[in-house]
Amino acid sequence: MWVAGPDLVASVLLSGHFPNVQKAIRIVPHGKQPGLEPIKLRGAISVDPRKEDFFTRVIEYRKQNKADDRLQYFLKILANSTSYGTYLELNPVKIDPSNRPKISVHSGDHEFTQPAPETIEQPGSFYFPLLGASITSGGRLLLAMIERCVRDAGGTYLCCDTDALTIVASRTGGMVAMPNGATPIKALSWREVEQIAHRFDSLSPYNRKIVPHLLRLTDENFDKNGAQRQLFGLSIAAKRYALYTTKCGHPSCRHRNCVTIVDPKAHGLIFFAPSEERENGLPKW
Amino acid sequence: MWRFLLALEFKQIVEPDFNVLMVAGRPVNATTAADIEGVPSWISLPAMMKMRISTPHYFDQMKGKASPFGFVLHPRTQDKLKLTLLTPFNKNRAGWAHSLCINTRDGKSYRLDEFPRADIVTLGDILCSYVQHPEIKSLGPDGGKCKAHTRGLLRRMTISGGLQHCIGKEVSRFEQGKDDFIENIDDVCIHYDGGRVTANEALIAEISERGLRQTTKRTHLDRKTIRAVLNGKKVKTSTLAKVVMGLREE
Repeated sequence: MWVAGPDLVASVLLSGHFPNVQKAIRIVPHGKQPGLEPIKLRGAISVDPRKEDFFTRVIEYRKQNKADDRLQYFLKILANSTSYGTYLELNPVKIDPSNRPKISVHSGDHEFTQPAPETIEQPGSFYFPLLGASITSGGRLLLAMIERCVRDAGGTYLCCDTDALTIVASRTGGMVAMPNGATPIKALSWREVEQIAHRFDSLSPYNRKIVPHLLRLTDENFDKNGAQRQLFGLSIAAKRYALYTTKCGHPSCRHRNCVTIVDPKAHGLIFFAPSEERENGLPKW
Repeated sequence: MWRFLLALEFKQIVEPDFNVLMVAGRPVNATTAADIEGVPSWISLPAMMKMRISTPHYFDQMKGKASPFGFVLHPRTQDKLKLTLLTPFNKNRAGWAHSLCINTRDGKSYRLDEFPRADIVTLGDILCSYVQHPEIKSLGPDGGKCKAHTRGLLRRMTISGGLQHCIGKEVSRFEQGKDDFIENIDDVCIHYDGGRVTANEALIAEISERGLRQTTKRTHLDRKTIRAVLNGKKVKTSTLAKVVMGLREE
């Protein structure tokens, strides 16, 4: 079984078990692609791929142009699709079933031939799965590192997804009761969470003046005046959770109009949306 | 939606025995069968999925009622009815329960209000199954399987690597007689319906050669189970997997 290196490191971090590695392959970049030239994104933002990292610059420009919604959105899509999607682009192509060519199939160290299926996958221009797989694997390692840091500090989390961890935390920290009389869990203090986030700054490829921290608290953590506020959360399953605040300051209450939902996620329910109206990004039911 | 779910959750914190059941599209207290307070108005509406007309077949069925790649609504019905209903898109939720629908399987028309209440899946049913969806990637706080009513701090599920099972392209290879998957469970067993398997001759010979005591020691299974495998009796796949893995371990 072949596993991407960052996943292996993540496994060791979280499980403490060291795998038995029989063979490892290292992918090393060699030389510089010929024909690279400076470009101007949307005719305004200049990037010279010979001298600077294209993706780093795109993210930095995005941060510098937060006020320009259209430009910011363009840069976000550009960064997401070109830094990951294009390396794994496969387009289905139908072929004549009566004239199916033989194809080579590579499996582990083995290679064999078999007739092509009726639909084959045509690689895109920038197809390079080793890089594509390593990028997602790197993302999982980053998440595993944060999880390990939280665990080492004695804390835990409500849920996590792709590039974010919802850490159980409060202004001063303390114990949080659990249902059914289970052992209470420790909420980290906001200061401890900040310290964990700042530990990752040494990994940041960005200009500190433009992107001060690699990890940051998401916007939901702050009220409209910019002050950090206490969030509560209810998580049902993966991608099915809601973060909310209460006026009374208690995680559960029966006061009228006390609860404000600030970040709801309802994966899998959007198909049943009764209308186009939205409230906090979710159907207004 | 989340306001309603939070209200239920808060109530459960105060009253741990409080539980909700969906009865004919209505949420009721599982203990007292009383209606739940603060139920949203949409909860008894039929669950309608917004769909695009993306195939000629659906377009034929909905001719004159929808344009190509236009939106239609797909009311959900119980699976046992084997119906795939489509109805023209309608923003008026109050009229959904009386929608005239076409079953794309046979082209017949049905009115939603002709069906018994229990055969129509409501938004309440969807919400109920949503809330009770178990998080299958995690274990419960007690280390057991995460179920619909599991609550608390979930634990990570661990996976022990061992036997390989050919899937997809690998199966095609396997059928070509390649021999690098010798540790596949399919190599050493005969499959029966119901997920039970018996050892093949090669595995029985290997167990006989090693002997009952050594096999028991290596596999951590009891003698009775090993004897059953030796006698060609049907056992669970996982049991046979333990035998194979135990014998492969050095």
